[in-house]
Amino acid sequence: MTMKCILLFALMFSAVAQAWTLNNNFGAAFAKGRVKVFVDEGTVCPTNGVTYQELAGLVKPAIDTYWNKVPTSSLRLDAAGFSPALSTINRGRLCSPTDDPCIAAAEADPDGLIPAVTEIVIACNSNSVNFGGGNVLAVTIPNKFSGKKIKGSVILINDTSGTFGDLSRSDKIGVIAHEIGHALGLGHSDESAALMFYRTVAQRSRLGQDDVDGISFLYPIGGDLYGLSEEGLVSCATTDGGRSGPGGPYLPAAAALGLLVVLAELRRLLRRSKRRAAL
Amino acid sequence: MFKRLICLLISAVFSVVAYAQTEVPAQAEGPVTQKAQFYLSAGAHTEFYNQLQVDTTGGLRRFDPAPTIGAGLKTPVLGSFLFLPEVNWVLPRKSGDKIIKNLFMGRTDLGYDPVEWFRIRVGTSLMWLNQHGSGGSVKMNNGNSTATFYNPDQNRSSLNMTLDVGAELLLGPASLRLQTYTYSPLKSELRQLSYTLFLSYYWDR
Repeated sequence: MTMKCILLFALMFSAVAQAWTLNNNFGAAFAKGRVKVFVDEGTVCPTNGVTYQELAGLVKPAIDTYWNKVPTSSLRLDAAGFSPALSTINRGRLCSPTDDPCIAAAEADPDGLIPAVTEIVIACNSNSVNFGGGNVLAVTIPNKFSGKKIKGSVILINDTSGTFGDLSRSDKIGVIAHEIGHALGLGHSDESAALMFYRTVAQRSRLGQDDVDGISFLYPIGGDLYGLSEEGLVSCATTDGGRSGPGGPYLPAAAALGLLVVLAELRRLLRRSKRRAAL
Repeated sequence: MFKRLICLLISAVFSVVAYAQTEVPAQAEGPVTQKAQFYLSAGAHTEFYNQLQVDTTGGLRRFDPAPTIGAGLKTPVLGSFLFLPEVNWVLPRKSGDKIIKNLFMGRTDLGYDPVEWFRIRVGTSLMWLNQHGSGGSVKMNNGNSTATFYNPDQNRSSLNMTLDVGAELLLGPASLRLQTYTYSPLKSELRQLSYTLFLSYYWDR
């Protein structure tokens, strides 16, 4: 009877769907666990009425409130201040490195092409071609790759309209955090509670389950020992998909040891019960 | 080097505790007569208590009925102290052809029964979070239009050691347990608390 109750208890839960996605079809992510987030020091946002210093002030809360709070991920983001000004950042076109028509059009355009960057760079931009409309708050494209690894991403705040500037500070932080999610390799989620949902929601304060699962997939931790490790202190190969944490035999050894203990206990129990049966 | 030594030390302590008790005491000391027992558990697991947003108005998750099953051994160590290794599995929640997520726990607890009906557990877990997907793409809203996004087609895992504390109400052969797991207890910015509510049944061997 009790067992029936336990089984019923286990089966009565409803199922939920997971919905996080990637923004590329090969699971690209930054190769290293520490990624720097810069604001272009030459960027101007006249329509939104935001200075580049204010923009930089949004980065740290965006990464500390959201992405830097996931213990199952090896990713740690640093608010790194300002990057040297790129001449085309405010008006140029942003293209994926594999989007040849976009690159050709940008090179023919007097506003030019935004060059590939390393790490993550945030700026304002007023080229409407990048946004496709005033309702889009920002766009992000990883625009530098090395094989299947992201080397750099550009986040552009839409300065063709003042929508971003009209947001509350916490919403601005949420938008920056959402775009950083794209810069790291995540796509959208169809869960409205997730930060990676395609639009802003009434109140955003934390990551959703989808975001945590997505970032843990892209940046798995090889073995965290009670928070002592930075990128997996005691670690082992964590994937069969190409990524692995920093090497080290300690966690697998501990796991194997634990398994041995369980097996030894089982063996002892079996032996005792046989002895008892023989008596 | 120091960190590695801590890791080895923890492994060694739990191993020694397990192997040290080669024989079950014929007459255990303490308020409860201790016998080695096998147990099965079922429960609900909540990941990252009060830290994950669950709605569009900023509500945070306090309880999640994620189905969890487990099995373990209760073996006496000394007096009212017990050694309790167990394995648990937070079952994958339906994800159709998209992403399957599994959370496996390899756990060891040191238990103490101060009274007949109550048990305190302190221990550690190796949390193995595994996710894999079958690939493919999906069109999703992207502001003014739709865009193509991709489902993962790989298999990746994260491993975390957690510090665990539990309280168990003993009701004859069954028990109710609140088991907590603290991720990154030594790093405040990463610290997260998960918990499971377990219903267990113990068998005498």
